[in-house]
Parts: sequence; structure tokens; C-alpha cells
Amino acid sequence: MSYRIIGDQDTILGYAFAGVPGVAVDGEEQARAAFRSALADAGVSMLIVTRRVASLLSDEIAAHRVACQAPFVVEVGDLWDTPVKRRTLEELIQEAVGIRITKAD
Amino acid sequence: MARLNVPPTKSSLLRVRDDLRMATEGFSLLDQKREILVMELMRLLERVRVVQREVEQAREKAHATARKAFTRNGFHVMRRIASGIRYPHKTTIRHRVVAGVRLPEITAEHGEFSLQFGLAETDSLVDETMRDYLALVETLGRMAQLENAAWLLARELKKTQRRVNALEQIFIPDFSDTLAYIAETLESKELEAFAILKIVKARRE
Repeated sequence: MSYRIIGDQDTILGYAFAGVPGVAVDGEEQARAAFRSALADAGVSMLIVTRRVASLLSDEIAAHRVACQAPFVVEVGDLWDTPVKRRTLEELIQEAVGIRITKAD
Repeated sequence: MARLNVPPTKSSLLRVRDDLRMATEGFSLLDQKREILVMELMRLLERVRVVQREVEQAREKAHATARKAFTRNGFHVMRRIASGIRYPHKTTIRHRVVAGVRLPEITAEHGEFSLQFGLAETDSLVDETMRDYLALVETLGRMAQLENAAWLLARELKKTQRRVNALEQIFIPDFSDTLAYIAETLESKELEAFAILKIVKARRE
């Protein structure tokens, strides 16, 4: 059980320095194929995807997350991207599951 | 007024009363479960927020170092160096049960920072890149676990919520309405029988 990253060349090279094997993808088809093969691979327990790839595959990733199965998907920013405000987990959960969690006073 | 389609007899009165008791018990249990789930989820989300900040910081740092290292050494040199790096990341998944939900606990063993390339042709930036990315991967692992647990809890909460609502809005009112109806009908029947008995008695005298 180990890590894998799907992203662009530059980003995955960084992770290679931590010994995380990466799949460089370009475009939606490649990303989709890489994502599916990572899901099918029982040796992958943690899947890191870059934000750009995640936005290409948002439907499949959302479905996979709701199913709550390994590999667990985490999103990270691309190497050359300026940090953008990511959507919070609460928002994602609200969107996918349909419940809103707010602090009760 | 929603009523179940049962004949107003003594036996169905007993049955519906049992059902109602069961539904009420189930309701209070599920309500407790819902509350536990909400509490657990809130706590988890709080932790997720903390870890997300950590990840963001680690990521910033690692990416900044990597950008510098790439610019200094060039992409191809970095790639050659990276191709020799192996770390034995190992993760094991165990499960913890909270309110009937199996939450995964991922423990990751990370490789220790070690020398994996020649010193002669690499600079300190390469070392730093490796160090920062190892730290990043470690925090990412923690975040994945927490986020996934939050998803599981949210899903379970939704399910529980739906059940609680069904019991509260549909089953319990239905059962109590039916119960009232049966009790009423039985009572009026009894009254009728009593009245007939009286009349018969009066006629015989």
C-alpha cells in the first residue's frame, strides 16, 4: 500500500523527491485513464491529484469520495500555480451528501 | 390524518401498540446516534481545518523550494536525480468504529531522510527539496485520513437523518393515529353492545 500522484510533469517531479511514484498526464483522457488505473490498483492506498487534474475529473472524484473506499484521494496545488482559495470540506460535503454542518450556539 | 389499513379489533390494537413502542424506542436511539454523529463530525472538521492549514504551509514551502531547485539545476538534472530516489512508504489501514461507522485509520510509515544521490554534483537545494517533500507527504497522509473519515460520517449522518425523519414524521404519527382510531372504535362497539344488552334486559322484564 503506498502513494501515487497524478499531475503535470513538474509537480510530480517534486513528489518524486519524496519517493512518490507519479503519472504525468496531459489532457482529460489521459487523466481519466490514470485515475481509473490507480483506482483499480490495490497497491495504491493514497492518491494525490493536482488541482488541475481534479478539476478535469471532478465528477469521478466526487463519486469516489462519497463511496469512501481506498485509495483515498487528496488534492494539492500545482507547482507553478498561485495558491487559490480551495473549497472547504464542508462545502464539498454539503454539495455531495446534501447536509450542512454549522456550529450550533 | 394518516391511518394504517387494519381492522379495528383487539388483536390489531395490541399489535399496533407494540409497533408504536418499537418505533418510539427506535426513534430515541437513532436520535442519539444522530447527535453523536454530529458531534463527532464537528470535531473532525475542526481537526481537518487545522491539518489543511498545515498541508497548505508544507505545500507552499515544498513547492517554493522545488521551484528554486528546478530553476537552479534545470529540469533534466533534477529528473535524473529523482529517478534514483526510493523511499519505502508503507501504509496500513485499520478501522475504528464510531456510532456504527467503520472509520479507517491510516498509519503511514515514512522513509527516513537519507542520502540517495551523489553529493558531488548536487547542491543543498536538492536536499531541501527532498526534506520538504517528505514532510509534505506526511501531512498529506494525515489529511487524507481525516477527510475520508469526515466523508464517511457525513454519509452515515445523512442516512440516520433520513431514518429519524421517517420515524418522526411518518411512522410514529401513523401508529398513534391508528391506535387512537382502533381504541375509539372498540369503545363505541362496547358501548353499543352494552346498550343492546340493556334493551334486551328491559324487554324481558
